[in-house]
Amino acid sequence: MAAEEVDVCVIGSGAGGGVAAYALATAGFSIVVLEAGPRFDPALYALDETEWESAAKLLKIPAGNSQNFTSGPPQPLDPRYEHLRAWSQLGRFASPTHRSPPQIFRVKGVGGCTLHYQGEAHRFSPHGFVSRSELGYADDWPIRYEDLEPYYERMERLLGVAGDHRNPHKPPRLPFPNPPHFLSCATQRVKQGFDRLGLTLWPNSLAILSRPKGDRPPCNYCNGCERGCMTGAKSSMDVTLIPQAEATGRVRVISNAMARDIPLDKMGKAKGVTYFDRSGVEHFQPAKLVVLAAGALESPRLLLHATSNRFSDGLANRSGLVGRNFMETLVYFNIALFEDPIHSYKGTQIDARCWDFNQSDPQRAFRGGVVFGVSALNLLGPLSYTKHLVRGWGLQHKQRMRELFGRVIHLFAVGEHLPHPDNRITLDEEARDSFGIPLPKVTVALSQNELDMLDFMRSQARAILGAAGVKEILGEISAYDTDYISHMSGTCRMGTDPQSSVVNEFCQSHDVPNLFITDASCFVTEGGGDSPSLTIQALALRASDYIAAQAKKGNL
Amino acid sequence: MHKHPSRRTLLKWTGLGLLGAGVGPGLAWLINRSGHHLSSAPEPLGFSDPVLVFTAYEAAVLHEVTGFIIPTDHDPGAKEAKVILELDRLAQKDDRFLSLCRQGVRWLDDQASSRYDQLRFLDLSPEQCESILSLGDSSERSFLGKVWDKLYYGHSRIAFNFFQRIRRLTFSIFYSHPLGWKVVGYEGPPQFSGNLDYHLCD
Ligand SMILES: Cc1cc2nc3c(=O)[nH]c(=O)nc-3n(C[C@H](O)[C@H](O)[C@H](O)COP(=O)(O)OP(=O)(O)OC[C@H]3O[C@@H](n4cnc5c(N)ncnc54)[C@H](O)[C@@H]3O)c2cc1C
Repeated sequence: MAAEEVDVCVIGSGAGGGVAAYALATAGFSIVVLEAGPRFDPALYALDETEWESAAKLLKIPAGNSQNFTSGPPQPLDPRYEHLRAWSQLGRFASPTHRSPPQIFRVKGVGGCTLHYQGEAHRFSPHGFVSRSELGYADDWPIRYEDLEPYYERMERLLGVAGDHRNPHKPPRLPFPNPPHFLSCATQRVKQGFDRLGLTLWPNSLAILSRPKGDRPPCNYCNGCERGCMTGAKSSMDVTLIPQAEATGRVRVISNAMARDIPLDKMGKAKGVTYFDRSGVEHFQPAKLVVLAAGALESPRLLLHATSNRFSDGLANRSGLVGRNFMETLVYFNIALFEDPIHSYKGTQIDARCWDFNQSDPQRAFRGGVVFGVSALNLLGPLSYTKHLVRGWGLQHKQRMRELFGRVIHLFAVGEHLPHPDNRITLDEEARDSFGIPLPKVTVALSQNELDMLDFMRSQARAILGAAGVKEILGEISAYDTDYISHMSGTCRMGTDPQSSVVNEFCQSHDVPNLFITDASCFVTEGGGDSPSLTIQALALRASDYIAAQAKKGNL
Repeated sequence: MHKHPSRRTLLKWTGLGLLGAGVGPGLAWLINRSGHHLSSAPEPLGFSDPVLVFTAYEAAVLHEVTGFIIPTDHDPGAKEAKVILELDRLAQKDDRFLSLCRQGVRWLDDQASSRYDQLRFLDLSPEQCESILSLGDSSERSFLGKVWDKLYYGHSRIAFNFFQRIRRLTFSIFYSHPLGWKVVGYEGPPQFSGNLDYHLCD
């Protein structure tokens, strides 16, 4: 039986798709959301079980790292930056000659990557939108900070973001809806180093409740955000906007539904979405408008695969830029041991950031911004210490566990990976998923600019930790030879010129007027190292307002 | 302690010593197989929960091995946390794991025999046990050392797989147990009590 036509079919229910579904539903549209993954039940996450750390329990957790992609030839390492090679007390773990193939951390499921994101809710700084015209690198966005500001504000209210509005490195703003979380003991300890160097370590703005909101409780600081929040204190899409969208009665979320194609009618407009259900049966969902929000890896994959007479190089790809300008996560981690018991496993995942280097500075050897942060990351329970830090066995191992546990923290930095057209997603015709769809192939390399940026992160981090009185550095990992990707963007960039961009400033395809792309794909830059989700969400909100306004005028 | 004829004595008796190292491992294996039956039964573990799939002998050896991985000092170790019972539970569900443990126990006895002229791993001194276990810890072993193990003892893969698996599981079981948490001062799983004192330093 043919499905009934809806106003909007949203593909993907993560940061971008979840917001679009909510905003369009509250504007009165009927919606079907197709989500490739399952719906997870937070009550089944294992964080309350004694064996919560053990691998078998990960099955219950919306763990990411679904490596359903291939990668291009690995980049040879530049020996001038040999000092950036990853090391830890367990030895070297990356190739000495080539950069490791990318590992992309993501979740397929209702809520997308917000299921295991750390809840950082950052506004990009104004300079992040004008890096070409004002700072001479990368490209300008077609919008300015001021265009997005009201949407940032709305998003923060919807999510109940907690933060301190007096951040000296961000533009003046109204107070956050919720007060900031306190800094954890571990962060206070590392902050001493920042303070001594005259740098500002500031409470992070987090989509994690510091006060109750509706029936959601405030955070109890278990630090397990990445393994799925059991209490609902973290504002992931599955416990916030998606249920609110469903509550309108106008939204149906179909989980385990893998979109394959967006067929066009004779006028070249999208007429719906073809998708596979879990058992591989193909369906067609007719819709007046399609919002694609499958993420910066899967959205270009779908478009490149959706070829037709009209679009032989992929749907909505007259610019040839679908899949290009892939930006990854340029990270550096320093694993630092402190003498005093700082119970580093307690708190929120990233409770503080330093924005002193968020703006590109011509005095530095590289272009682009860098933001530092403090986090326990995966060092949350004793078992993680046995896996990542303490080698051997026997009495000496036990003693070392006592010395280390709760005293190790990561000082890390995220930098801006500059857009480059050769860094791209293509289709790997040799490798297909269970539905027979070619896998996305990630080809990505770092330029000297990025290597200089990593070098800067390393020297700054070492200086900060030295000033903080670190006892021992237990390891350093950077994007020089490893490639752990949690933030990715840029593969359907926005712009005013259809020749040099895929979507316009409202995330609308230049080529297919009733197709919108509201995920990280439409980014032009990474905004100086800030985390992307709030910007994705603000863009999705703005696009939804635009859709509603245009629909009212009969323009779509 | 029960005395057994040493491997060297047996080799002398049978004249097979002349055949040299090539047959050493095989012979040691044969001797050990019968050695199990000759030797005295190990002390029962004395737990209220029974060990179901491992034999009493296997359970005793594995119990010892876990005790070397996380020994008892002023804090409890793997033995007090009865890690062996969890290993037994795993082996009930996983035939391949059970078989790996069996081969591992045999390998330990082979080593006891070929290196120290004892028929059973359980008869060795703690230092001797540790030195055998460290053979399975490939990170402690050079490439040539591993080649030597493989050529001479023929068991390096089993040794490696067995030791790594038991080590990983021992850590995993012990540090998921309140006794393990006590060792490092951890309060237990993240939920649902959380850490409301997260911002307070001692
Ligand atoms: C460990 C980790 C921590 C992070 N922490 C932060 C943080 O603290 N702050 C921050 O801002 N960002 C963080 N991020 C990044 C952030 O989660 C992502 O940038 C963001 O979720 C991306 O949103 P999106 O809408 O582009 O894609 P996603 O959130 O990935 O959503 C895409 C959805 O589309 C679905 N999908 C894909 N293909 C199809 C298809 N063909 N058909 C149907 N559905 C499909 C996917 O299953 C997925 O659910 C983190 C990421 C990771 C991995």
